[in-house]
Amino acid sequence: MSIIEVSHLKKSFGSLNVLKDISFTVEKGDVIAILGSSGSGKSTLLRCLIDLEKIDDGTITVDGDTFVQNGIYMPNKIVKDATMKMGMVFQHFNLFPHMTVMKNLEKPAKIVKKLDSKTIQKKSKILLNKVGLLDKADVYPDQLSGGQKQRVAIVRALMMNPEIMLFDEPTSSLDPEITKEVLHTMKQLAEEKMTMLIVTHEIGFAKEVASKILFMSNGEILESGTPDEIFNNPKHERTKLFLNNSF
Amino acid sequence: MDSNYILNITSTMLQGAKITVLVFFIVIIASIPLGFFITLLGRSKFRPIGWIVNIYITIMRGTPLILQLFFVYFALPYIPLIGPYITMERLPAALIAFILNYAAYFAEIFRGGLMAIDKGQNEAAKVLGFNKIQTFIHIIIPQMIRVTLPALSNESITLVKDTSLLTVISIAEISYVAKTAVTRDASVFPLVIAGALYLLLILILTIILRLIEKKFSYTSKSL
Repeated sequence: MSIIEVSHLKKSFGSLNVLKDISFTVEKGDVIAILGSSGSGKSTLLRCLIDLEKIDDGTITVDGDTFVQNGIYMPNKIVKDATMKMGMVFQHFNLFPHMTVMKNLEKPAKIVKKLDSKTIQKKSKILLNKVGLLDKADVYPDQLSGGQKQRVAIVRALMMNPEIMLFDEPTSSLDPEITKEVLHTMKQLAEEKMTMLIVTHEIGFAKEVASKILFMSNGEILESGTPDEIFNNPKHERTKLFLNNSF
Repeated sequence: MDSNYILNITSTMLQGAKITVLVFFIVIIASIPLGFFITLLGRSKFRPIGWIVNIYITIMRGTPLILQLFFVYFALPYIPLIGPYITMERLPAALIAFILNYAAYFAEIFRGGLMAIDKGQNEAAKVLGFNKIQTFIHIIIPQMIRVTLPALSNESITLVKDTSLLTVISIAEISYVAKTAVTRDASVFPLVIAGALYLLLILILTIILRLIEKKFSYTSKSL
């Protein structure tokens, strides 16, 4: 059974059809890079999966739980249970500025998961150490570099034990030097067989790490396949054009 | 001017300062929560509540405080039927006028503070599983307090000086005592003491506010 199943998803903002008729599946352990030019709907797609945007029509099933069917949403609890299986990392980090790094990691686990402090502390230390930021535990986000912030954001999402991680342009607001450290952390995750959906402009990274590429254009998935198929043998003119312009 | 006179007048003025400080604290303690409550009402999805809040804020900010003070103290008793039941002593009338007025300003400050918080904060909280109330309590309010503190400080300093308006309904706060002494003794000395007392009160208040601001700042103490 696929861990994510999306069928005939439609979403519009006013008269603008952002997602036209999206269907795809994600298997457990897949690392899917979603490529496409700005405005192709790729960020909106991620946001629909985790219920930050409401879809107009279609069905989304996460790990067996259908939380929206033919555009009709299930009761809140079902939606929440399904979306809680996913963690999300944003372009602008969205760390909580009034909490130290440690509190950023521990507060959600404490309030939402109601885990005891000891378990949480142990976990946050292990994860922080893994991304090389244990020495920043008591620092406020303001004092971190962009790359450090994004790594903290990744760890914060991981604290909730997600089965799937969504990345919405995680490196788009970082300079190239710093992008590397975030990509490194994401690569580690991929090696641990985390299921990941990554909206990105990092073609090189997609080529190297992704198991599958979705190429979006104008609110549709124009092409999907292995990196080899997409990069070396694109079927559509639009995909060729995009890839040529990206290198 | 002998030292006895200075001592005497200063101790009378300190009595006045007590009233000033009392009014200040009661108004601050009541109007900040009330202001926040009004901000929340203003965000209600039920539109008429929003309209009422807007009208209230427009009137409170659009008319002089001194007029509002006169209204509560002198005019309310003349309202037909209910008038006799809402006749108040000077001090309660003054407190009500001040609290209603300041709550309107605080409500606007809080509204601005909430607007200043990035919507990404709500989204991050949502994907982590916070419900709306948890998000408001743990994520939004602490950031709102920090953003609004400088403006709140400003208003509270203004409030100390605004208490001098109570002179007009003969409440014996600093300015009233000073004015009485000036006319009685034909001396400007009480005015100097009054000024010094206000300065001192505001100096103390400023120090306290700075400490509070520091407590809410996001910089690590260890760095």
